[in-house]
Amino acid sequence: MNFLESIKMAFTSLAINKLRSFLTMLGIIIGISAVITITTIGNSISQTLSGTFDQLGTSKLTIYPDIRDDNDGYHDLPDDEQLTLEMVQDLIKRHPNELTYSCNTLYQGSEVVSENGNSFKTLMFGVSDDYFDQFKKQIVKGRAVSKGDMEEQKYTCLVSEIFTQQYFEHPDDAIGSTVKFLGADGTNVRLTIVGVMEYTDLEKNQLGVNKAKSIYDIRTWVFFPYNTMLKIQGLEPKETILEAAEIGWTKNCDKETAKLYIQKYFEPIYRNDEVWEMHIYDEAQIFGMIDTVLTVVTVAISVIAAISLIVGGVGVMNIMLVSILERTREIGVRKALGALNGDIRKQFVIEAIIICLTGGLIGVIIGIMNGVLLSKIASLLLTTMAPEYAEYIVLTVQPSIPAIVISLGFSMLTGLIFGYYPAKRAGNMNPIDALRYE
Amino acid sequence: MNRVPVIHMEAVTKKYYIGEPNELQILFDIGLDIYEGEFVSIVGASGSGKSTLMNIIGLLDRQTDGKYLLNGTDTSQLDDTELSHIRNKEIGFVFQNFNLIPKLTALKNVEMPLLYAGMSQRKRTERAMELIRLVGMEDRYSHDPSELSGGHKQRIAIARAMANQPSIILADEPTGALDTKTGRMVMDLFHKLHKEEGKTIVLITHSPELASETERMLTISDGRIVSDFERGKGE
Repeated sequence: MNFLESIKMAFTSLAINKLRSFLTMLGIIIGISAVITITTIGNSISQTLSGTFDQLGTSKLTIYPDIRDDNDGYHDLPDDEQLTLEMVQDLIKRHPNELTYSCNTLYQGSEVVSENGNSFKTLMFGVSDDYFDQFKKQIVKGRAVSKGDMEEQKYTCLVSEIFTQQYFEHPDDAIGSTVKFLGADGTNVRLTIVGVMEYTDLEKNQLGVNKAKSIYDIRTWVFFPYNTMLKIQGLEPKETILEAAEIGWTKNCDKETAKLYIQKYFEPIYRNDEVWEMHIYDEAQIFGMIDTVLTVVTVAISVIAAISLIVGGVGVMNIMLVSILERTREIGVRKALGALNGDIRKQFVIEAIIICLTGGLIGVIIGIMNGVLLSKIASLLLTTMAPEYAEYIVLTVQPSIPAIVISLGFSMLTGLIFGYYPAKRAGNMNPIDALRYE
Repeated sequence: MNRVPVIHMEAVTKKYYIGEPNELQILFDIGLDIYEGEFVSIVGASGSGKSTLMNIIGLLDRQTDGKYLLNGTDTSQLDDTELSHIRNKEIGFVFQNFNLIPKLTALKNVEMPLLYAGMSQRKRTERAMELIRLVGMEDRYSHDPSELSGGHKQRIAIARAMANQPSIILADEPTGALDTKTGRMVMDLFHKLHKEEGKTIVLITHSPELASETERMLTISDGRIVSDFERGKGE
């Protein structure tokens, strides 16, 4: 008797006792749906994190001098020349169309007197020309700090809408106007506005925009070229020591190549240094760690949930034993008609597997539905409770395909394991005893 | 006579609970030859051992001692798988209580031995319908056993017994659960199969009247064959 016939026969006998077949499946359904729900949630969180990290611009490597792994613990204070702006600029110059350097350094707080004579405070940041690359959508008027501004150390700046409201009577006049910033250290800087940006909800929250009683209480941000800041400070790139630098890459390059370039550049500089090395920090590695932890948790909970599969399997075994007892006469007849022990065994094992596999499939569907439902609830909570973060979080619902495959495999295995013993008993029945069974 | 008998038994015995205090011997020294095309009845009171004999003939049970050759093959050396194959191909069973499989249609029941013989679905259906026509049940082939009367069930059971063209049909009290009229119809069917298809039929019954319809009658009593009467030949 071939395999297909056995499957057909199994379906026929399961269809005869629909309610019983369903109740038997229930244990498997619960087990599998629990596993799939958990893995769907786990996988969705992981996907959401990775989407969110991408959104926040993980396409940067941070480099900073760090103590070598093989150092014995004793070391002198850092040498002045460990990482200078010159080195970074040199590195970028070697791979001009591949690597980028973006930075954002606080210069100082300063005071501005508006056209109306109101005084308000700002925070000034020296930024590189590509700093706004990832925030382009925030620039509403004019342009960001450009490469030319950087190289020629121009006195230009980018201000926020709030700044224009604070300073100008007619905020539309902003572009092209020159503003005097009175530094906390007493120095004066005059910068020409080349662009206007608007804050994200998250930034508004940081600045306390919604809580401010008056618009002049908001300590708004002003961005101007990094090199201009150095000029004001009177420092040369060679003298500018950086604690760390963020290296990005263009579409002509990728992360691994960028890492390679960095290593290659710093290798001769640090070759003979026994204490320090240039460390490359990849934000994605943090994400990788979170992801690993998440995977471990998901697997652990799944395994616990899978224990319910054993309970379900015992239920299947129980019902198979009952079913075989009920059908003893049938087994006797089949044997009298020429069924081999193996034919009978196969028939019952396949019945058990079909119960479990059908239960598994239903469980997978329920599990995915649960996962989707919970993710919807999560996104609803997120948008109502933390709206300022909502736009950064890319909520993804992604059932884990390996988990589904493994679950279905497991439910088949459950059927095989728990169906085998009853089926073997049925197969080994003595035909004459089976026929006489009342 | 040089013909090889379909069934050849020599000194067959059957004991239960061997070696235990309640050891029970059911069959004693059975010697028996049944030839192709014979319609033989085995008659005996209940408890005489006729069912045990039938189970041994049908290879559902094994003798304790003695020799049983089916179509010249010594059956005592065969394993379960080989016995299953022989039951499937060489023996057609007709039981007192029909033993049709519930919830399967008459057609599927008749197909059962063909299924275990490894025949394809199309050929199975074809052959089973042919058999159902032979027993005159063609208008009810799609019914479940629960929807059939006793006489009809037994006719389906006979069709099933014929499925693989067995060397021998073993009928154990085939009319036992039927009323006189339907029992008559079933007996007529056996006669028809015997005459028209040339089937070898062994009928086990406690009824001497039914037995007297057959051409040869073996009487069994207390586990021994006490008479072997062949019509037209005498004892």
